[in-house]
Amino acid sequence: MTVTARAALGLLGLLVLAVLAGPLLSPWSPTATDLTAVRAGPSAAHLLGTDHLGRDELTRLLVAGRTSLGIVLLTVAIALPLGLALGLLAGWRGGWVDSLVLRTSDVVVAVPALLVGVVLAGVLGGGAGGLVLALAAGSWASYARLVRMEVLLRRRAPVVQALTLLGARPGRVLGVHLLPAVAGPVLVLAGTDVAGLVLGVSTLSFLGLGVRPPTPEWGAMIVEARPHLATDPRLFLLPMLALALLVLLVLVLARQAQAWTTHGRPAVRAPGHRARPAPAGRPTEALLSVRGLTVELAGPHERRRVVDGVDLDVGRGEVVALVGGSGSGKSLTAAAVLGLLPEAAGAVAGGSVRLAGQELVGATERDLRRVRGARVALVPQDVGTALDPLRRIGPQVAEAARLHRGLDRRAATAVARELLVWAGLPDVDRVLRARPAELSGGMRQRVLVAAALAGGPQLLVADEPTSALDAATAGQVLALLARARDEHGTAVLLISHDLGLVGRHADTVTVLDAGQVVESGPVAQVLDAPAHPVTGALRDAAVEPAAAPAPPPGGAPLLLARDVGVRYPAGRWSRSALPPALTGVSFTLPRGGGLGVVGESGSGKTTLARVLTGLQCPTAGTVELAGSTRAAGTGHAQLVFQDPASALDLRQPVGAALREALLLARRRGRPVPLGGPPALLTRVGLDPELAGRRPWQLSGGQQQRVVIARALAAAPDLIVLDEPVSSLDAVVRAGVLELLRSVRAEGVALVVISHDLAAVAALTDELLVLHHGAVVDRGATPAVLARRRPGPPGRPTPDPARPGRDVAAPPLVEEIHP
Amino acid sequence: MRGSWVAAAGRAAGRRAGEGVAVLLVVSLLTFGLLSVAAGDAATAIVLARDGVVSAEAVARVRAELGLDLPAPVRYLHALEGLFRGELGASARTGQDVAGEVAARLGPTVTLATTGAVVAVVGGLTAGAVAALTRRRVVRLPIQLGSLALLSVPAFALAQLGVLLFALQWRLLPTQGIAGWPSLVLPAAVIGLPLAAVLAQVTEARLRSTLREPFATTARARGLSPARVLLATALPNAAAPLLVVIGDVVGTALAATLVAETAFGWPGLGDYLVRALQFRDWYPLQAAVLIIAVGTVSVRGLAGSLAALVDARAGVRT
Repeated sequence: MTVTARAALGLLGLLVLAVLAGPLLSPWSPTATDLTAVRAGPSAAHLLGTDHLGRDELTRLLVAGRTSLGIVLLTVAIALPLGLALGLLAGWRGGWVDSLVLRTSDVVVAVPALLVGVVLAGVLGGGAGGLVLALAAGSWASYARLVRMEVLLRRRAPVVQALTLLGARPGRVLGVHLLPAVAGPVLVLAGTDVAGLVLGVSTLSFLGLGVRPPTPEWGAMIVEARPHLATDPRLFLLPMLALALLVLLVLVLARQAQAWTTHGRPAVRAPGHRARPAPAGRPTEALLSVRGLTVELAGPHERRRVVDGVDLDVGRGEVVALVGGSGSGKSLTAAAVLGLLPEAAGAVAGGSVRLAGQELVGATERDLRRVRGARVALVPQDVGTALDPLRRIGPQVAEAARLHRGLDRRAATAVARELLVWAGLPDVDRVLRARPAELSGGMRQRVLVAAALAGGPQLLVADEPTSALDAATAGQVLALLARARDEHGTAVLLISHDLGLVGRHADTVTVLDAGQVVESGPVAQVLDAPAHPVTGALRDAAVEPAAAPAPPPGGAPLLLARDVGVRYPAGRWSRSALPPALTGVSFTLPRGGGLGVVGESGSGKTTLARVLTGLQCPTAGTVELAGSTRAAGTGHAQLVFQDPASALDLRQPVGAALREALLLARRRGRPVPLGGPPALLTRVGLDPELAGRRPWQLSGGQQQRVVIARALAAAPDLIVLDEPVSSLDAVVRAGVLELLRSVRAEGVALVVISHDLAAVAALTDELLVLHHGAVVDRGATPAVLARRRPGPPGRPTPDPARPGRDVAAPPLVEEIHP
Repeated sequence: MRGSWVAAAGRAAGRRAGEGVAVLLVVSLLTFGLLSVAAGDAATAIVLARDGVVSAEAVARVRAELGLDLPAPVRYLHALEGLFRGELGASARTGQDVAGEVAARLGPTVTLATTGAVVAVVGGLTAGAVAALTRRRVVRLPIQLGSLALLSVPAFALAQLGVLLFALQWRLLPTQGIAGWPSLVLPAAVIGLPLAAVLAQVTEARLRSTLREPFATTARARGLSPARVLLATALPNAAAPLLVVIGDVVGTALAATLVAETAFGWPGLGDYLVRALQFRDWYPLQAAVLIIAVGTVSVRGLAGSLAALVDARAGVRT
C-alpha cells in the first residue's frame, strides 16, 4: 500500500469515527437554537462557532455527516447486492435473462443519474426512505453492468472450461473462482459510487428534494448559509469543506484500489540516465558498438538488473543474431540500441551504445529522434499491432522518408511504392491505399520491413520479426532481411529465440542468458561446437525431437468420432447463413494413441477440441468417448490450452488448484493418482516446493506444466492439447514436449491441435488436415507431412472474403525464393 | 471489402437510433406512471393554491378538468398522442400552455448547456492530452489535483463558491439571471469544469494506454516526436472510446442545467423542471423530463454512432 493510500485510509477512518461518535462528544443538540448567540465566532464553548440560529456548528457538521453516510451506505447496501446478483445471473445465464437485465440497465444508464434521482426523489417525497430508493434506482445498474461484463469475459475463459471438464458445478465456478476475480473492480466502482452518492444526497437537498430542515445535512447547511454568504462565509465554507474532504478521500482510495487491482504493484519513479564515459580516442571499426550495457527495471522492492554488461559489435553490412530464451534480456538490449526503453517499467540504461561513433546512452530525446528511423530502424515483433490500424499503409511506409530525407509527400510515396515492390508485395497501388486490417500477416511483416528501410538506415533492429508467422512466411521475411543487406548494404541486428532459424541467415551469433553474454562468435562455430550449456540447449531444442511412440496394439477404440459437424446459427439480422465450422469429421483413436490435427486459423481446430472434450455438442454426428457420448465433467477427457496463464485461476496457489482438481475427480469417481499435489508436481517435473506459489509467480513453461498436472489429477483417458507449446520458447518447448511424450507412454491418448508441425510429429502417429471445417487429408503423420511439404492442394491462396485472417497461414511449407 | 465499413457504421447508427427510441418510450412510460401515482397530490395542491381550503368536491372537479379521472393507460395514450401533436397540456400553476413556456425556456438552456459542454470538452481534452504527454510533475500534479478537487465539490457548492469569490469579493460577475455574456460565465463554469475534470482523467488514461501500443512504439522508432505520435497516431486511435465519453459528458451537461439554473436563477428548462417538481405540476414536469431525456439520449446516440464509424474504419467488429 502506498503512502497516499495509507494516509487517505487513516484520515477517512478518523472522519468516519468522528462523525459516528460526534453526538456523544458534543454537549450541544444539533437542533437547539440560541438566538442570543447567532453567528458567533469560534470560542471555547463552540469550537467552530454557531450558525444563523445560534446552533453549534461543529455538532451540526458531525450529525450532518452521519445523515449523509447513513443514506449513502444504505443505498449501497441495496444497490450493490442487487446489481451483483443481476450481473452474475445475466452474465452466466445469457439468453433472455441477459437481454432483460441489459435493456433495463440501458434505460437507467441512458438517462443522467441526476435526472433519475431528482424525479424519483420528488415523486416519492422527501425523507431518508424516498432518498435511498431514488438513489439506489440509479445506482444498481452500473454494478450489474460491470459484473455482467466481467462474468461474460470470463465465462468462456480457458480456466472455466478446465474446471467444467474436471466436473466443477456452476456454483463452485462462480463462487470460488469468478466472484473473487470480480471483487476488485466492484470495490473500485463502489468507491466512485459512494463519492457520487455523497454529492447526490447534498445536491437533492439543495434542490429541496432531500433531507428537510432542521435535520442537519451538509447540502442543506450550504443552502441555509446562502443569505449570509457576504457577511459570514464560514457558514458556507465549513460544510463545503467537510463534504469535499469526505468525497476526496473516498475518490483517492478508489483510485489507489484501481491501480492496485490492475497493476498489482505501484510504479517506481526512475532516476535519470547514467552514461558510463566511453574510453576516449578509441577507434571504432564497427557500425554498432555496445560496451558494458546494463538495463535496470524498477521492481516492487528493489531495482532489478536485467541486462548485465553486454558487449556486442555489428559491422557494416553484417547480420548479427542476438539469441536467448525469454527473460534473457535480448529485447531490452534491442530497445536500448534505439533509445526506446519502456519508461513505464522504470527502465534505465548504463554503459555505452555507440552508433558510428555517436554515443546513444544518455543522448537527449532530440538527438535520438534524428537517429531513429534515419540511421537505426526497427522491424517490430507483432505484425498484428505494429501498424496504426487507422492510417493507410502508404503514409506509414513513407513517414521515415518524409521525416529524415526531406522528401515531399509525392516523392516519399514514390519511395514507399518502390520499397513495397522491392519487398515483393503484389498489387502495390492497392496496398498503398489499404489499411492494415485488409492485409495478411505475411504482407504486414513485409510492409514493416519496407517502412523500416524508408529512412535509409545503416542498421535494422529486427525484434523477433518472425515469431507471429508460420514457418513458410517466416523464411520469406528472413530472406527479405538478407536481401536488404545484400542490396542496400544495411546491417541487421536480428533478435530471436530460435537458434535454428537464425543460424541460416546470420554471420555471427551472440547468445544471452540472464542478461549476460554467454557465448559469441561466427554462426558455424557456435552451432557446431557450443561452448556454453545454454547454447547447446537452444540448439538442441531447435532440432526436431524423435518420432512419436507407437500406440499399444489391439483393444477397443477409446475415441470414436462419426461424421461430426458443427454449424453455428447465423446472426439474427444476417442474410446469409454461416458456413459450417466443422463438417463430416470421422476418426477413431485407440487407448494411448496420438492424433494430430493441423489446419490454418479458422479451419475448425478449436471447435473440434471443444466437441471432443464434450464442452460443446456437435450439431451433427456423434462423439463417443470410452463407450459413452456424455464426456464433459466426467473427468475422462481434459483440455490443455495455448495460453497456460488464462487456464489457471491467478489468485489460487498451485497446490490449492491441484487439490481442488483431485477433490472434484474423486467426487466423480475417478481413480485419482496417489500422493496428492506434491506427487503431481513431481510427475510433471516441477519442484513440490512450488505448491505455495501463485501462477503469476511461475514462468510460462512452469504454468503449462501445472495445467498438465491438473489435467492428470482427473486420471483422464484422453488429453486434447490446443497449441500446447506455441507460446513457449524453444528450450522450454522441448521440455514440455518430452513431458507429453512420457504422459502418452503411460497410456493417456493425446489429440494434438497445432500449426507446429514438429510438435505434431513428436507426439502423434496419425494426422488430419482440416480446411474450412472438413478433413482434406489424413494418414500416418510422417507420410502426410512428407506428402504436403511441397506445394500442396490446400496452399495458402489469398481469400478475398476474409482479409487479415490468415495471420497464421496454413501449416504447409511454401517454396522460398530468396 | 473496402467501403463496407460505411455499411457497418450505418447499421450501428440504425441500431442506436432504434435503441434510443425504445429508451425514450420507456422513460415516458415511467415518468407517466410515477406522476400518475402522485397526481392526486397535484389536484389537491391546485385546489389549495386556488381556493386556500381543500374540499373533496373541489379536488374531484379539478381531477375531472385535468382528465385525471380516466384510467391510466388511456391517459398515457392521450398524453403520447398529444406529444406528437406538440400539445403538452397546461401548467396547473400558471395556467399557461406548456408548449409555449417550454419553447421560451429552451433557448437559454441550449445556450448554457452548449457553453458548458464546450468548456468541458475543450478543457478536458487539452488537460488530458497535456498530462498524457509530459512526465514532469510540475505540469501533471496541478492537473491531477485540480481535477480531483473539482470532482469532490458538488456543483451547487461550486456555484456558491463562484458567487462568493467573483460576485461578492471581486465584483466581477453578476450572481443571478440572464444579462449578456458575463451572466453566462459562472453557470457555464459550474456545468463545464467538473465535466472537464472527468474527461481529462479519461483522456489521459486512454492516451497513455494508446501510447503504449506497439504501433506507437513503431512510430517513435521512425523518429517521430512524442507530440506528433500523440496527434497523428494516439489521438485518432483513442478517438472511438473518447467519443463515447464525450457523448456522455455533453448529455450530462444538459442534465446539469438543473442545478446550475436553479443556483443562478437562469430562466431555462432545468429551472422549470425543478419548480414544476416542487409544485407537483405534472404536465410541465413531464414535458421538461422528456425534452432533457431526448437531448441526452440523442447526443449519446450520435457520439456512439461516430465511434462506431471510427471503429469500423479500423476493421474492428462492433
